[in-house]
Amino acid sequence: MPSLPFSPALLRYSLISGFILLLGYIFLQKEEEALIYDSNELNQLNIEARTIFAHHCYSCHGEVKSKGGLQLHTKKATFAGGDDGPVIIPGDIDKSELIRRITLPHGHKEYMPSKGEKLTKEQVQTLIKWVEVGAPWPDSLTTSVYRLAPFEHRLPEVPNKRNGLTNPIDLFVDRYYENNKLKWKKTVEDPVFIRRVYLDVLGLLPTPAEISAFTQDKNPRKRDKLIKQLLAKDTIYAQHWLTFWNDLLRNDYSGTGYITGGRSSITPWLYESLTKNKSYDSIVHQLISPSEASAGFIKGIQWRGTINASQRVEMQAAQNVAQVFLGLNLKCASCHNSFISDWKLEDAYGFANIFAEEPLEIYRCDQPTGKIASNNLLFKPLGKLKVTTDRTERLKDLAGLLVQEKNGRLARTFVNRIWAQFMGRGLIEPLDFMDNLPWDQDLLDWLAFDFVRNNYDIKDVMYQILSSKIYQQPSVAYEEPEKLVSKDYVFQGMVRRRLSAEQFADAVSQAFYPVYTDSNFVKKHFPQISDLKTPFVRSSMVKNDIFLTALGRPNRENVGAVRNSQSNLIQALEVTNGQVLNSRLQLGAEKWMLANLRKEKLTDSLFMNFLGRLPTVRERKATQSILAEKPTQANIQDLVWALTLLPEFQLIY
Amino acid sequence: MKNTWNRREFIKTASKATLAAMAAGAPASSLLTGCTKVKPLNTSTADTVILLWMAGGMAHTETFDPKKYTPFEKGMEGNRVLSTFPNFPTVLDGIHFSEGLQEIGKVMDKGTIIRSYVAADLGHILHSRHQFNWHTCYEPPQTVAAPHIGAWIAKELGPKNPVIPAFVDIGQRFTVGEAEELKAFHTAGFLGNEYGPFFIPDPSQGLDSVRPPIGMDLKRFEARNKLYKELTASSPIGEFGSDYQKESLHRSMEQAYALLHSPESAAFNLLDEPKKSYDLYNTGRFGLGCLLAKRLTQQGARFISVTTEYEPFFGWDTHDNGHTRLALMKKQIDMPIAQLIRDLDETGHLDRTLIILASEFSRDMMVEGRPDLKVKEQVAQPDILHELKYYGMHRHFTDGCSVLMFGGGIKKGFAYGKTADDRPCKTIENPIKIAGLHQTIYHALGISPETQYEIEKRPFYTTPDGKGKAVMDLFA
Repeated sequence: MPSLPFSPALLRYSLISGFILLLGYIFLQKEEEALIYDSNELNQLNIEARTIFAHHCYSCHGEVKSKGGLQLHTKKATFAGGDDGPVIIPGDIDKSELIRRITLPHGHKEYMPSKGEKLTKEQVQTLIKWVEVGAPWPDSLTTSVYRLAPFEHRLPEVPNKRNGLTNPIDLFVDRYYENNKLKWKKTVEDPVFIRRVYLDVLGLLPTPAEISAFTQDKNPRKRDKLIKQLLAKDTIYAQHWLTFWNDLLRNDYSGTGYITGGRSSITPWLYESLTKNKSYDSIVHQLISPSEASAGFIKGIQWRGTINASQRVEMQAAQNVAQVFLGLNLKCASCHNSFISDWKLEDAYGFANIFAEEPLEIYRCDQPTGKIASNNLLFKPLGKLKVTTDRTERLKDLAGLLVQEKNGRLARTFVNRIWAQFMGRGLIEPLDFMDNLPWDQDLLDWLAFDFVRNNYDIKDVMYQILSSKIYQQPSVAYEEPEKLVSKDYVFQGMVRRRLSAEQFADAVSQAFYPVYTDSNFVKKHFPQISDLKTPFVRSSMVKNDIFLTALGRPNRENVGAVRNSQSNLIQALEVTNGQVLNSRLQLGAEKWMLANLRKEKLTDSLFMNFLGRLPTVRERKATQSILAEKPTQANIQDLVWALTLLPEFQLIY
Repeated sequence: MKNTWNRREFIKTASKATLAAMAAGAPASSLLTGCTKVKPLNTSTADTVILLWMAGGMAHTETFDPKKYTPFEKGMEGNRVLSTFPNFPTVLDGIHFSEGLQEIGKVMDKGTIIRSYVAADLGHILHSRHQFNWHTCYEPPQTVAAPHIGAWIAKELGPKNPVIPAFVDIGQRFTVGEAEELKAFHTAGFLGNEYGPFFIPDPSQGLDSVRPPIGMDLKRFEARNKLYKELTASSPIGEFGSDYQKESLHRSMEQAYALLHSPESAAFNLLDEPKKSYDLYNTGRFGLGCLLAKRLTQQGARFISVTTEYEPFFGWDTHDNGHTRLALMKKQIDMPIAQLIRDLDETGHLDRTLIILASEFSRDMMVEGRPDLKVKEQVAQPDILHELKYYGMHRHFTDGCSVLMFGGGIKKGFAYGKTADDRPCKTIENPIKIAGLHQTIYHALGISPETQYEIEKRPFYTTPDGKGKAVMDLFA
């Protein structure tokens, strides 16, 4: 790339951003040199500039909004400028208002962009360079300013076996580590591993007996054996994974819409699908071309009255199918042409149309346009729908086309979600934006390919990840959650996570006293279960309440709700003096009193139950101070309360 | 960001200053990508907001915008009835209120009456949908979870006093009909639940929410907390290094401890209130909610909602016996609201406290929805009234509603907007809609109308697309 020419605007910017004058001097020396770009380079520069506009300016200066009369989404509009005249004078950065604005100091009231992320130095340079060379903007341009991930599958070559690694995942990670100058660490100890894998697969703590049996087992393949055993526990597995799927499919036992029949539960179908480890392609097929039992997902949520056209139930179906199964956000495009992607209003309506009984009229920003939508499958390689006026037939057709083996996007979206469940962060983030770049394309593609090769067997892809060496590495702590989503994220290993609301409640139930019992169980949603036969009800099978809400269970009104791993005051108050936990502490203490334990024994038992280990000398000393020789009910409650709050209990590390 | 205070020192002193530092030092919690904080407006006229929520649809013609009174007679034509109560002059020239609101009438020199709020058209009416719209400014359903106005305020301004939760919600229980729909907007939505409501369903039990669990004395509470801290400090997991989950847990626990332990928590104890004052407020749960709001405001609350409580067919949701039931509703609200305004005025808090009284829509005896956009009727209302139970405003009316505002920079002794004196008594001057109302509240607080966060890569504004303008005429 040629060097930047010197200019006052650049100088201003240079000073602001800490560039040294010397650089300017060097540029000055080069001013005489003519800058020659070939048309490809000019095209590239144009795309770069427009990409910046798209990502940083369109939300105020795009097709939908024109703050100050300025729109930057077409050539004509961009050069027409705003209310106060042109903002770009090709070749003259000093007279170009746009350049002036983006080079002002941050915080200046005229600085642009006034909203959203600031432009990086490189982005500012790009725009300066683009204007300087005459703001080229070819009339026809086929390349998009938005990245669209490749659609088809791709089978990357697995790196050669080395360093004793055999699992393809580890081999990809090994190469990634090498490229990023990272080193493998020592594999975690047995107690850490067993706790991690129990929580990840079953959502429960291993019992002290299970921990001890596992650590004493001399079988060198015992970890592999354990993973297989846990994955085979169909019922317990299903009860844990209900939470993941309920969040994903916004399925719940209570919520808006049920009141007027504007929503249906899919729980019995879902529970059975999980218990039987139904293949992913069948799950998707049955949700899109549903029986009555699985119809709730595309039915959407409506709670009486009129709704915004962009939220009509057919559009909800389109948005949710795209987001959940294809990692594609159509929400923008369901109201107007998207300004975060190339998707157009007509695409969104075309996709929604497939779910409609009658052809849909296209509404733009809630106003009818008079145009009628025609079916659109969004991705050309999916092929074409048969022409039919029968919705049931059409949905069957759609479901079949979406789960075609060649739909790499479908598989990648799902394996990325499973990776995120076990590793604390996806290969791509956010999980619903599959056009973003993964931190390792080969690993993602291989996982997706392997998933399809194994007939979309969900437990198989889980096994693949769980049995990798990378899953057995120490967890990585982050001081700032923002780092996890930053652009320069580098994968270092499993991210330390917090127990979900459900895992927390169930762990307390296991270790001390049932948080939820039969009376909380939403029986009518689980017709398969005649008798739970368990001492407590999994919190994935109870209605949401103030306690679970405080701990992060979302109200499932929207797909794609992200759970926050961070604690807050509302949560702390709930666990400190909320009725749910405190009443269980009281009841549990009454029960534990019956065992008549002395304080040493009581402390040991509780530590074993909650943390899977005996207290250290220091911990024992700390507990002595509050425990009577024969602990009282209050003593027991208080010790248990403190244990539930320990990071060692609350985190998956 | 890293917290810098010393934990032990902090607990020992727990002074307001340390707490303030703590609040300031708390890192941004959510993973909202590309979230932006627009610079606050330079001027604000209020620090605190109290929303007095008349749940269920309060008829303007029976309360703050009375029309011609027609007493009940057997066999009368319903269409003749515009108001079922006589009216009386308030302290404002030419402004009359419906009988039963005399106390509020006396304090109107301290506030503004808006008689031209026009509720949204949401089709076949469900109260909770209109309530959702009022509180979030968005129409349900939405593609992402829309935050309650209290959550926006909590997010933008944080707590005023760090030991009083920024968003306190008094009086609504979620065991009633439409509970799920109510929950859908009593939330911080995508902003994250740390900005969500701190619920006090029963104000007389408010203290229970901010003191050690029932049956636990302070000594034990302290010992328990000490144990937690010692165990945390001695936990071997400390060796694994610092992470945000752990840090945020410690920080939140300390905040909770400080709150449950702080002198300010006494504000939640209504029994501390002198009997004379307590009795003035005590018209029931709503009245006591006003009393709690007063006490919290004096200790530095940010946003408080006090509701008459929504429960289908109760409260202001009069599908029958409208006249009889409204007399009771007015009794419930009149004195506590007037007293709240007088008390905050006396202590000087009213200057920086914006009090808003509002309802999701109004009611009429004949029109369901609005005159030109009638919706499915939900009440059988005879044309000729033979029984008293039909005498009242039983249908939902969206075209003209009353809103009161006091303090926080709002004009004193001012009337804005107008409804027609004949049926349909709809807005005929200065209509104001929800986005304008929200922006007016944000303006008073110094929150920029451009405030937005990016969620799923789309900007989500406090009001849809950032539309709606603050009504500057309302400001002094």
